[in-house]
Amino acid sequence: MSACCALEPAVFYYPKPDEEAEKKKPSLPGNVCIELYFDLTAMISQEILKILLSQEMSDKELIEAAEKTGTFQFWNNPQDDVYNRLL
Amino acid sequence: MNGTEKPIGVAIIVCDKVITEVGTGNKTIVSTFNNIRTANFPCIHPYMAVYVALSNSVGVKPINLLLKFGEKTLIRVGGKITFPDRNAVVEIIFNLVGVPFTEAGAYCFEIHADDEYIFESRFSVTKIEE
Repeated sequence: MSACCALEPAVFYYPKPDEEAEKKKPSLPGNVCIELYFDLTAMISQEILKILLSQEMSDKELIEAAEKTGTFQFWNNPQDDVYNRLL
Repeated sequence: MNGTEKPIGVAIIVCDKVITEVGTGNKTIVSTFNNIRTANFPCIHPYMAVYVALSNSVGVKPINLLLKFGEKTLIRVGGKITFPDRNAVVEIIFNLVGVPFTEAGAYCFEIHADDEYIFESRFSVTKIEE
């Protein structure tokens, strides 16, 4: 049994990356990005759920469809009629 | 072993790109070439890479890649490279974006260590006749 490997290479770029420009780029803190991601995912999921609800399905079929589309976990508003219908 | 040994050139390969495998550090050299054809001058070649392997030196040395056309230096890029021991083969990848070629002819990539010429690889740029 044998394996080959090599030293990590040195890498240079032309033109040189403008490090100062990179530093000046606006950036969002990681937690803000994550929150935005979840907000958007939740919004999209709720839209999908609305479409599912507009279909004539039994509660069981509705839950299955919500689970299949990965939207069930975002359906967590106890004030929501849908939430009450499902749970 | 004080870093005064002149490196020996092992390889200069001009290609589209060099992929480094995570874990082993092994390189895959993709799409080598030695000629660029263009209909118009000046032409800008969008992306190319130059793979360089050097050996026989110890310590830290400034290594530079020069793109030359005759006596004219079009590009100079590089930095400090560490040679861990005399037998180690040190690999350097130069990723070049927007490389300008002003006219047809023989171009040359030269490797310099400590501002001293080590070795070179030539390639040509030719005009496509329409």
